Amino acid sequence: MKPPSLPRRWLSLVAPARIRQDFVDDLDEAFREAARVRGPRAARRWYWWQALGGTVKLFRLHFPDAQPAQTRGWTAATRQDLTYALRQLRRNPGFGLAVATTLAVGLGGVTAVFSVLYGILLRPLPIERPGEVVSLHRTYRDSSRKIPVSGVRFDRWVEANDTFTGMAASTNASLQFLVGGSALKLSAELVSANFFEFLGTTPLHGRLLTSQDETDAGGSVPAVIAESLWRQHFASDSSILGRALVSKDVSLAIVGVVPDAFARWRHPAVLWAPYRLTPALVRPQELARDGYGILYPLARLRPGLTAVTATPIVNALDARVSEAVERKDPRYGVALVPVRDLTTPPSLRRSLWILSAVTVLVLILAAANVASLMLTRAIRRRREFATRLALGAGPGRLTRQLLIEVGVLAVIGGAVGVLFATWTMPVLIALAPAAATASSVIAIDWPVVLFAATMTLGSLVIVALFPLQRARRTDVMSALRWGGSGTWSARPGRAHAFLVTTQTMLATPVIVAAALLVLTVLQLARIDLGFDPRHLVTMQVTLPREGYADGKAATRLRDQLLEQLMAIPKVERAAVGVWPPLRSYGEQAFTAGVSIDVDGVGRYLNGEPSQAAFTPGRQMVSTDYFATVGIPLRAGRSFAPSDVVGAPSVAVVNETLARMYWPGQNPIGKRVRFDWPNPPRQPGDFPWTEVIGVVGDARHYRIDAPARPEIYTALSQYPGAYPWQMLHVRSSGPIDDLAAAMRRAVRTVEPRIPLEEVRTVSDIAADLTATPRYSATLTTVLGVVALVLACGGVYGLGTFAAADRARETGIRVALGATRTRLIRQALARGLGPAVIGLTLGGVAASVAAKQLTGLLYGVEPSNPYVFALSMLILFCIACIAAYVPARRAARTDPMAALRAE
Amino acid sequence: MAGALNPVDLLVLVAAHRLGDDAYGVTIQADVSRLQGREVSMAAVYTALERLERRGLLRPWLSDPRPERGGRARRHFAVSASGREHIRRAHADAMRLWEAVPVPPAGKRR
Repeated sequence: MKPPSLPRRWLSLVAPARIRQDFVDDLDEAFREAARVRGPRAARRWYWWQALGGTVKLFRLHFPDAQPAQTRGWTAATRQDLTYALRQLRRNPGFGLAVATTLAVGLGGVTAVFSVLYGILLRPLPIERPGEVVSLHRTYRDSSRKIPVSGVRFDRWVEANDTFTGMAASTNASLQFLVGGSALKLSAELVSANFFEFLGTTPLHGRLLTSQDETDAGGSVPAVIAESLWRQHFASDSSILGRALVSKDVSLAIVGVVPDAFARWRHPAVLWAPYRLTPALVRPQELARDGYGILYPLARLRPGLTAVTATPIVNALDARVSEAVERKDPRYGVALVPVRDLTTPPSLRRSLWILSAVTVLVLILAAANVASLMLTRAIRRRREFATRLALGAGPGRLTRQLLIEVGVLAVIGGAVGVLFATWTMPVLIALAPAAATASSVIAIDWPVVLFAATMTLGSLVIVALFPLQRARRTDVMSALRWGGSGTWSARPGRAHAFLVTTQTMLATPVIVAAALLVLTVLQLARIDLGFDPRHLVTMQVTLPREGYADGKAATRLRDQLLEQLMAIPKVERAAVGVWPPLRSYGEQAFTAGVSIDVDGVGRYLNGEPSQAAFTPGRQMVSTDYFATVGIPLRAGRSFAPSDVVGAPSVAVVNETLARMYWPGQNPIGKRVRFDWPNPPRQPGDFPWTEVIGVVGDARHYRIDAPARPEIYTALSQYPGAYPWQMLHVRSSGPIDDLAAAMRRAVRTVEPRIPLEEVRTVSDIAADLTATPRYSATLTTVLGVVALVLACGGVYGLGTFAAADRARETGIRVALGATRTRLIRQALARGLGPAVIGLTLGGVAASVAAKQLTGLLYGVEPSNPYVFALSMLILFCIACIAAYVPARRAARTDPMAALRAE
Repeated sequence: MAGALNPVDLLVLVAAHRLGDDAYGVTIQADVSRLQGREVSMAAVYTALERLERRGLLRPWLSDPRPERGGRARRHFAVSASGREHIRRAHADAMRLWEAVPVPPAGKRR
């Protein structure tokens, strides 16, 4: 019978060569005997125990001269080594400081970046089995907009589905309550009653909403609040349960509190209530209408299904439902998004991973730096090692001592690194795009600490390798005789040179990446938006349901609002539009356009992929819009007060549209007609609209994509069209209380309008470039660190080589060698490894740069100038780093050098 | 007790002495386990054998080629003269010690 092969192979690896065969043979024989006496299973277990349990002892047999392994002796020796290591540190604080600092920066950086990465991308979501949960939304053709689902459609999905093990839905709402005498505006989620059961959340206090709540009618509506709300506004009062929250639309009773981690994930919501029990907020008629989409469903995939494989099944289900409610339209579909991907756009995810990779490179760089420092010291301590060897210490003893010394430094470095990470993390979080960090819990907890410890161990291995090799190969006699230097073989310098090559090789891609990202940010800053975002603010205004169905009332309201806004001091202009000047929200550019019939040219239907480039975006604006937003008028006229209902229908187009439909012609006077294919209308249902003006192109969607064709129509001609409108206010300079003044103005005109956030357009534009700026900033910092470390390595090599050759240099100077010649030779020796590293690094950088493709704008990842410049900078600084010690060495007094040692 | 061996080493030496010509890894390990009253790992035995060999208390010798070992010889250990002397002294020391000690009776103290 044969013993198990894995432990047998392990023994062949671990056992020293001189006893290996005998040992394995003896153990095999014992195994056969054990199999005969105890049975094969027990024998196998016994064999595993022999193999694993004997590992340490077999390993020790490699060092036969080591102290006899008496356990008490072993700990005493370790304690001795530890004391010695600490004493060495005390005697050479500079060295210890340099090493600990370098390791701390490297380890701290990695820990900080990893904690952000973990918090945003990897931390398990605060729900049960988050991998199963997907978010559903409807899509229209190739538009990336997430269209919410209607109540009736969601109900039918739930009834007919067999792809999901559970479904729930939510919609957002903004509620205002009176709490402790002051008005409190809260973001809330109105959810299906099974929402918390579906997610598997546990409450912090009280209970959560259940399906029972929907059937138990009557009385106040149960609601759940977030821990932060409980803390901030109710002082964590334990008698919170049963407390009432009353607003004009709804009366809620708090039944429970959810933990912060959950609330953060559902940011910005802090309150949850069932939508079926709040008819004032979510009307049953609206829920029953398929055209009114308000719900964002979540679902749990059946085991074996993924978002990708479930998509066609769900689309088939949706098509069946569409037929049943008689709203069949093949252009609509359903998309499934894993719930984790909702808060993190792909570009942020990518940049976080790239950032992590760069940080790990810098850590390896730091470790290599430390390794060369330790190597230098190990060589200087030849005499010490030789003495100890001569006095009877085994190589094993030396190994242990060096490992302990390195270990002490690594532990100090690791601990300081974690501290360093704690300090830099708030900075990293502040710089990161707000949307991602608001919904994540980013902290240094056990997974991060575990990671830091692993990295510390890894760097320990790198750092210890070189001096260990050196110490074990110490030739006792020559070391005692010659002490420090002497006739030097090229071999010791090779390790140093290798380290320098490694460092420059690692630094190059980091510096190139930083350069590319910085260029991207510069290019983004130079983009001409087509309008002026400075001192321009926007505020959304939602008309109340009652009293504004009539267009006249809406027009009157608008005029009054504009009047009030113009009365605010320092306000130059005010206007109303439907959409804000920058319409993209993060990565989801609202790209849906309108179908249009261009007289004499053709029809462009929204949603047709072949016509996607031609269908214009549509904006409805008040008369002073273009002047307020800063879009220049190129030809014809803008809207006038005379353009009202009943007057001829007019429109203003942008240059791109004019070029597209009427190339080379004068667009003024041309006619277009808006189209609506679904449900199909007669062509005569819509009036012809005449083009009266042309304005400059403005980037309304993505700032990094060119302007689309846009058509602007006058709000005064479609007064009741949209229930929500965008106020635009331009001021002559920054106004402190503009937001409050605007809200006051709105309140004066119509107190029922809910108060929304006032945003400056410059802020919105800045948000859109948040991710690239974030990546650029951090990579630049890392690039500088990498540069410093790499050049520190070159400097170190130069110093070491110079000290090493002091005697030789002294002789050569005495024999008449010129200073210049010496410097030139020293430079060549010092820079040689750096150049090799640069070359290899350049190759690595060109491979790595391809990974940045999605993050760059206006610059190619293979841009040769960027590469050349980055490598040139690194080379120049390396030259300086090599020159300084070379010059110092050339200045040595030959007599002093010869007399030394 | 000059040059005292640690317990495992002493046991291995004694086992090698008891086994005589039959003393090799497997048999020594089995005997030591029996003497100790619990299983001893082969690695521990080999470590002891190495130490004893270095101190000159054991001498290795190779047997004839063994078919069950693929024609390889088996490594045996013989106790050297100094090894025998060591055993004699250890035995005498131990007997002297225990002769002077009254062995307590089994059961509770009165």
